[in-house]
Amino acid sequence: MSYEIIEKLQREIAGYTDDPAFHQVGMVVEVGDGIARIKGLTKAVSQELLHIQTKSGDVPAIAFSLEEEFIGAIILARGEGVAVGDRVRGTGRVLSVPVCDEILGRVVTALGESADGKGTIGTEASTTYCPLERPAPDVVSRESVRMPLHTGIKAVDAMIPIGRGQRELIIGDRGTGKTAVALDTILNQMNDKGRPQVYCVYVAIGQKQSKVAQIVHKLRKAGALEYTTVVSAPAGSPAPLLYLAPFAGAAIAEYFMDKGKDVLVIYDDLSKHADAYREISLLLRRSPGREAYPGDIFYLHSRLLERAAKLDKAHGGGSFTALPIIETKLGDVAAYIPTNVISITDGQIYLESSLFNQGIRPAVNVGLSVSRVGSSAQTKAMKKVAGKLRLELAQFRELAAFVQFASDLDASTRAKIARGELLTELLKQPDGAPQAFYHTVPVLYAALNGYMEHVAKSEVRSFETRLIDYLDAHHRADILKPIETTGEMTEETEQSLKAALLKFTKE
Amino acid sequence: MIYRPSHYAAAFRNALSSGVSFEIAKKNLLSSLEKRGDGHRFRQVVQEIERLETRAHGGQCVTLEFAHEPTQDARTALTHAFGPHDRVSSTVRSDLIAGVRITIDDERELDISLAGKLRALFH
Repeated sequence: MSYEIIEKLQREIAGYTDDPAFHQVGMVVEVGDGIARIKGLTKAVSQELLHIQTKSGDVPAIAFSLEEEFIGAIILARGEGVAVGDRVRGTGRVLSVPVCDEILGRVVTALGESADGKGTIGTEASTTYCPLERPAPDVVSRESVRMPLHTGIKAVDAMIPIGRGQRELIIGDRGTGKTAVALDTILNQMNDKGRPQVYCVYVAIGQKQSKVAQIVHKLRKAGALEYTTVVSAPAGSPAPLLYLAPFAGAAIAEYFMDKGKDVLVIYDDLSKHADAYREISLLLRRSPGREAYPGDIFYLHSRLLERAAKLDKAHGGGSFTALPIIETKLGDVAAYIPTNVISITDGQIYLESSLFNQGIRPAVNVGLSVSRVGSSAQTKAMKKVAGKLRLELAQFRELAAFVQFASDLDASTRAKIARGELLTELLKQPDGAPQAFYHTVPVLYAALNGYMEHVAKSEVRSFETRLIDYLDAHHRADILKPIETTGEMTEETEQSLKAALLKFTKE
Repeated sequence: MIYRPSHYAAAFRNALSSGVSFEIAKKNLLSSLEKRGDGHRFRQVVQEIERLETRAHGGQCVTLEFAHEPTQDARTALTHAFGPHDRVSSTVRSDLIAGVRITIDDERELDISLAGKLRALFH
């Protein structure tokens, strides 16, 4: 290893060419709390990458505020080494991250550097530098969202379908399973063989390092890390890195989208991102607005989320799906940042603490959750079976207050309540066990067409497991495979499914 | 409102050009700095005044930073590389290791010191 290092250094030294020239330079006149005020560099552009020449080496910074005589720069590292009087050089380029195909399976920082101890990522020749800030695709280069992105969560895939190229917000209090929903979506991309592979980027903003390690371990164990990149800006990072992490994730996603691939990015979570941006803005002495957030806090998230798109064939046909996560306090979805992001995204999955505490997990409040893309992003098979599901559950919720008086109700009301309880139980799902949509379709078909009338609430989970095993063993070719490959349930497939369900329930 | 050294320097030069005597302008500048609690910035204000004066006469403020005390010939040769209106100052900075760094108007620099070459090599 040391021999390789010596070789590399020897090549660099031998290849060094001296080219003395005048360069633009500035000087640090004030520094503190991760912010440096720099005099000079009059030709610096906004978001330009700067290098502060400290005694212990060059420290990167970004020109954030361009004032009349000074530049307010955010330091992208621990700022202890930066002192007043240090020289600053501009680079002439905006901040960008190095991306290549080998970034899949790796854990990187917000600056694109390796954070998993596995060495450098890719080679110089294979690396592309993608800018962190890039204009979103315009209207002309987009097309409608039609292809589904299956999350593997029955409640979501049936009633709140997400399409490739959509932005769907996951919102809820702490401990309601937001990250679990996001991770199940990543894991489920292994199950969706009938469609192009989705590459995933998980952006951890302000998370505990132990939590990020657990997530990486979970993805690696399931084999999902092969198509996933983790961008980590842990809680102990300086605020500038927390601010940049989602943009780094978006830049990585755009690299693959421009190659015609489908990408999913999860921003976990944007509440911490907003807090980091508030901290930076206040340190830069920008005027505070509502809740001390700067006036452009909406623009911060809107320009990030607008980069998610489904491109038309002329631009490669790739897609970039965004699942931002927002943490609410005490269920207040009408707070400042949650309402901002709700108005930007194409729908939300609302996770409720009360449902979670009742044991309904995932704790999706179907009444308040919505997907604005809707059934356009659902397979025909799923559309066929799930059409009635939302209505049945809505009727059940209305009758929920009468559940405790079930013995005093008429037969049809009791039947609706029983059906609602069955469906609620059916939609429960353990963490880390996403279900392929070609399994969900026959299960929901069975539930909604009366094949599970006789099944007790406590038996629903085992009935479902046995049904799936039965279909896998005996009806892979005539029921599951057609649904998986075509996304449709033809008349022939439906007849086969009916016959299979009759036989299974008799047994 | 924060008054920068450039504000004080511009006001001082404008006062001089309007006919106020140097002694009165100097005295009022000092009292103005004291009044606003900017006495600690006096040195920066003086530097700004020198810079504005040099620029007004078409010159540049040049700083020569040598790694070691230069010979008289070297110092003279470099100083004569600049014009009569340029204000040339020099210092010794051992952290440059060898060579010289030339800064013009605190905005442009030509770094031909060994420390600069090493930084360019390894970054």
